Amino acid sequence: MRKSLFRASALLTALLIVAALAGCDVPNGNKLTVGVKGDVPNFGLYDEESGNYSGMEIELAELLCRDMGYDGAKLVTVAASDREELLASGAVDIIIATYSVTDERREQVNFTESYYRDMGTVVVERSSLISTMQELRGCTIGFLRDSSMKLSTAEYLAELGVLKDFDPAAFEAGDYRGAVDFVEYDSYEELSDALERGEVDAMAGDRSIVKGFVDEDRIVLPGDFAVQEYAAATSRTSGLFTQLNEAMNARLEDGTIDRLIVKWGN
Amino acid sequence: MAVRREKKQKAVTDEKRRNYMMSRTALGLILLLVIAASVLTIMVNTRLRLTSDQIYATNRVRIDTVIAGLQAGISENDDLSAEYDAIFTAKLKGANYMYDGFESVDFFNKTAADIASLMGVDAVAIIDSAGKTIGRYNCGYDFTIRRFAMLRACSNEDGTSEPFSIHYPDRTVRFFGMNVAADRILVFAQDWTETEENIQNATSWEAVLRGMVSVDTLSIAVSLKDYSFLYNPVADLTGRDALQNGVPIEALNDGYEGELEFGGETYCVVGRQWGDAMVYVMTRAGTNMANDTVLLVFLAVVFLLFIAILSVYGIIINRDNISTGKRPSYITLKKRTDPKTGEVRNVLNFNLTVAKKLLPITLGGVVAVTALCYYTQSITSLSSIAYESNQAIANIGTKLERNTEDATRLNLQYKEVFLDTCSTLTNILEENPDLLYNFSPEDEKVHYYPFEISENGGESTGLDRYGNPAYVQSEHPFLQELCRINNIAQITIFGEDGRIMATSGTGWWFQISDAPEAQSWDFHEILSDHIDYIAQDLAVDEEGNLSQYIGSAYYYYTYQDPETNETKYASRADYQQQLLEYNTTHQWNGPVIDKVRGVLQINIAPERLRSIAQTATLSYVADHTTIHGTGHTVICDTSDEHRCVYSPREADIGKTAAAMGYSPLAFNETGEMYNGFETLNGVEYFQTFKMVDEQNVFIGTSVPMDTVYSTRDSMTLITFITVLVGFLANFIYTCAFGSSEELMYSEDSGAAPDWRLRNEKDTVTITMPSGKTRKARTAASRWDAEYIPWWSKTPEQKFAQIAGWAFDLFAYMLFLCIVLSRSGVVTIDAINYVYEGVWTKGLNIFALTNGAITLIVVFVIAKLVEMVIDNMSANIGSRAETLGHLISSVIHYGVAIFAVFYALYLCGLDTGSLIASAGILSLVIGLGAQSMIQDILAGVFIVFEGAFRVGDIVTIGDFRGNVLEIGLRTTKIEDPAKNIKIFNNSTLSGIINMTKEASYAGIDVGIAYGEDIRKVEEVLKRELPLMKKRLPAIMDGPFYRGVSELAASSVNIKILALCKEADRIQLCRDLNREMLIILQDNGIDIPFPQVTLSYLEGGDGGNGEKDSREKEAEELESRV
Repeated sequence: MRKSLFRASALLTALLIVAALAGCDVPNGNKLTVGVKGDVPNFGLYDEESGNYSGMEIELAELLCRDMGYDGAKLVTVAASDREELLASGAVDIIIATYSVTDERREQVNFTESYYRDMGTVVVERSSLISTMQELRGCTIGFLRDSSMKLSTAEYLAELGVLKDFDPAAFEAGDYRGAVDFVEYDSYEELSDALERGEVDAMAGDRSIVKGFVDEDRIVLPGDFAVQEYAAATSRTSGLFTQLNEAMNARLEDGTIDRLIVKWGN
Repeated sequence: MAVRREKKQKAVTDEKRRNYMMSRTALGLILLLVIAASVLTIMVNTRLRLTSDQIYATNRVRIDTVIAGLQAGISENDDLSAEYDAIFTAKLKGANYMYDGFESVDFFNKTAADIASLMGVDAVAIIDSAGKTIGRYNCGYDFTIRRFAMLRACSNEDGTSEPFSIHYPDRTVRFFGMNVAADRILVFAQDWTETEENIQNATSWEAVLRGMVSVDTLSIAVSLKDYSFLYNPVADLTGRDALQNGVPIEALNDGYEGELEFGGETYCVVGRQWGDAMVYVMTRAGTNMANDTVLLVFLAVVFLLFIAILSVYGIIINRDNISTGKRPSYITLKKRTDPKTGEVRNVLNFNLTVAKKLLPITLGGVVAVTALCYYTQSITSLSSIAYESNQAIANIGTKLERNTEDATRLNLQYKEVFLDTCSTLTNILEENPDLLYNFSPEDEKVHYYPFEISENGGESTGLDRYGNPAYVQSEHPFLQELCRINNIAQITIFGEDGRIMATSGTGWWFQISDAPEAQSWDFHEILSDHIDYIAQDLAVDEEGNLSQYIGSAYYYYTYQDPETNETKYASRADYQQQLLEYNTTHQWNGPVIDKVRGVLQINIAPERLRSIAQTATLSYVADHTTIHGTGHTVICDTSDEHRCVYSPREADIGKTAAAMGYSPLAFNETGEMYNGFETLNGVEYFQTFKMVDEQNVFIGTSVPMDTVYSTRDSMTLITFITVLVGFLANFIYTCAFGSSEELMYSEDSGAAPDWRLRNEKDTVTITMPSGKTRKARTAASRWDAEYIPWWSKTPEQKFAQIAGWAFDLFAYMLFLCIVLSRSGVVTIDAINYVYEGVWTKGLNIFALTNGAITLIVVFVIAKLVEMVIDNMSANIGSRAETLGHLISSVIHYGVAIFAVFYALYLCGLDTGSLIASAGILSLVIGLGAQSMIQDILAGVFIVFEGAFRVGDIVTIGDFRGNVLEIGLRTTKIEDPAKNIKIFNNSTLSGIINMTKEASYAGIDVGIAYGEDIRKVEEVLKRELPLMKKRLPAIMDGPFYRGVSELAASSVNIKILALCKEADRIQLCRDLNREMLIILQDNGIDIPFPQVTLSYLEGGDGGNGEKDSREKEAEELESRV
């Protein structure tokens, strides 16, 4: 009797120890560095007080890294203009930061399949009495610096006939004169303030971002344009690309991406 | 050898048996704990789930209230905003009305500053429809940009543009525009920073949501645009990002229900989407659970105690069987054949003897625990409702305070608005006397005021200050226009004597009173220059309309025309001009203009203020207070009949409390909470009533009983099933045994040891009148029951003792809980809410619980006191012991009587009259209880005088024995034959107390007359010391004490020996025997009674009678 009791308790203790150990996380494992946005609600947002990131792209980064066999993602905030540089220098392994696919960019980076489709949006103040894109003739539109939205908007306006004789190349080169003025700002906050003060008559940007700046005194102009595809990117020379692309495709197929989009209200 | 081997075998079997029993006991203990723990876990989890369900249900109702509140808040916001906008739009219109010539730039530049100061506007501009600034004052905006398109459009019907604000980095500006001429737009630009803040503050998320707080419940909101907390008072999270701070993304969906954690606490949350925000109502999950868990633990402990003593009982029975060699009856459930030896062994058996004894107690235990669960759950439910109701009532007071604060604040803001209006109006009026004082006496609207002016503004003549007739113009067109522009109901102007000079309305026959009680006294204060402005409170006028009167100081400038002597009116500018000139030239230029103080009065009929005032009323707050989701609130005043001033059912308002069916106990003025049950319209409610001092009302809450008890029934059912399974598991384990019979009993247990005999000695088989036999305890053993040693008790007696201990333990535990709870060390809500407050007296659960708690406390205290007395008196001595015993008896009876009376009192019986009527009873009883009282008194005196004590040897009458007990009424004496005689104390007289250290055993021995007494003495001298050795009871002696009597037949000598009183009687007999032997051995004659006969000469006495001596001889002969 006593012997069996002893054996039983020894077994129990052993089990407990194993369970305890299993619960421990091995710290500082093998992680990939992923560049993300820190100022875009629902995609990549950084909260200084808690030190946490939140957003769809954050979750996606973590998932993809684990799919690729790593222990997770080490997150780094990137600005829109630095993305190519950071990839090229190797400071980050992957970019998942509202990075839209353009042919130009393809020359420098590898894009996976797109995980999100965004569009261009134009927002105006109610008091400006602008209600359609056509009425933007003679107005000033504000954009985020170096975003691809500027060109897309101009093209769309040309389509609508607001801009006559539009030349994209010249436009890109900075050589442009037209019925609409295009102005750039360093951040969306500044752009929003400018719109408020009347410095610009309209603000244009990615719908996913701009919709956060719409209050009851502003309206969104109707019209879909400048569709953008967001995708994850690596440098051209990166060896991770194949794995990353596979992982992304898998997630697209099994519905994870869709779930994430719905979850984050996009 | 064989014997030794046999002994060894027996020893081995004994050891095996012991080991087996020990291991079974150990396993049994573990099983007990496991069962009890599982039962507890199941109950706690069920309770958790049920409580959560309840919380979610309540919060679903609450969130509707919150949303409604938000809706109201938004309307308020909009209303206030609209109000402010309206003011400025009115200013625009006023300016438009007053000034002509905006086409000309010149004109504008001249008048811009005037307009600005007149209207109280920061910046003014005139622009054309393209936005080009024609003229401006203090205004530097570029109105050509698209941003101002709406301003330029002036698309409203009245030619104004829709106001809008622009938030500049340092300030917010609101723009108002009006088309005043062709291609001319008048623009007012006003700093709106503070106004916006005021509006926001009045109706912010915080303002609305913080009012939703009750003790454990609060409301928060998260913006769906930037996911920050719009309001979260926990851990100061307002403004912080919600996603990072406890709100998962899934929670941001309409209809979300779940648990969230803020500030280290877990909350049960119900969420609803409202516009661009998620609103949540959440209740702290922790608090209630603690109290509930306590009661569940209590229940589990009771359960554990039960199965523990059941198991112990089983063990006791088994051990008893083993010791006495009694074979238990059992059935074999499983047999196994050993393949090697072919032996058949019983692998699983079920002990029927034990089962028979255990089964009824097991079933009883299931019922008891279930009943206890039902009871405690009822108490819990009621307590938590009582608690919630109490909180709700307290909250009403707080909410009212807050609403009143909010109302006051909003009122103030509106007053600001009105003050602004007044100042604008006074400006306009003071600058435009010709628009105002242009009445001609022939006009039918102009009236002559037939009263005299007097100095104190009382009676007035029909003359003004210049002696000219004074007029009043009613329905003044200019004033009416101003009313229309400014959207106010009426404008009235009062002159220096308090009479009306002009009014937009029809009523002109009014004068401001100089009596302080009058309603118009406030305006008198303005007249007399004590105050400049007054806004009266909202009032209901004769027609039942809400209105508010605002008064402001107003000056008019009047002079007498030197030629016509008519009373004329000048403008403020004129007056100031004249004053300026006088100051420089010291000469009046023209007739002296008097500046006279009057009163401008406007009358508002604000719909918004009506709703504000409403929220500050008790009924509004009560209406918006939910208790437990389904309860409602009722308010009664403090008059004698306690009329209802508010009830969700309109029909109830005005009824007396009695008519509504409320108990008069509910209205106690001490501020204590009343709890009780009432049936209204066939539905039973749980009611709480409490007086709220500040509002001077009684607030009561009613919750339908089926809501209250919703969790109880589910819990009881789950508990019943769980406990049943637990009890049965324990039962089966206790009765089953798996090994061979030899371990369960042994046939050769040998002769029954002493204790068996003793036990049999204590019981006797008697035959009842019905013919049945039963075992009864012997008289003696009944009173020394405590002294039966453990091992000599039957299993039933042991079980009874253990059960007794368990019950005591239970009572002590309860006592501890009650004391801790009452002294505030630990809060057990359930117990607190039973004790506190006023309860209806009646056969309800709270009276019963209160009674039970009080009784437990009283019993335990009595028992402790008795224990102390017993211990003390045992140490002091037997007298104290007797006394102690007496006191214990008194305590027993006293407690019993108190308990009965208290229980009756709680159940509603009027014990006061009961005791009073006991006066008559006591007479009856007194007569009948005479002897009893005598007994009691006698007993008291016996003890105090110490006539005899417990343990003494006394002789009363012919009964000699040990004093067993001196009771209140009777004394029990036990003789050596273990007979017990019970005496009434009052009959105890002629007591011989034979308790002494030593007594003398004395015998008289008869010696024949023929013996030589000296020889006898020699013999005795020799033999008596030897006798001492043979009789150990002799302490000293025996002594020869001489001849005690020269008797008829013998010479009697006395022998005395010192001994203990207890030994005395026996020693006498021993002494007799010894003396007989000694005398016989020494040839000393012990005579038998002799009579010497002598015959007389002659025959009988003549009539055949024998004479006495003959008779004697015959007698003797017959005897011998």
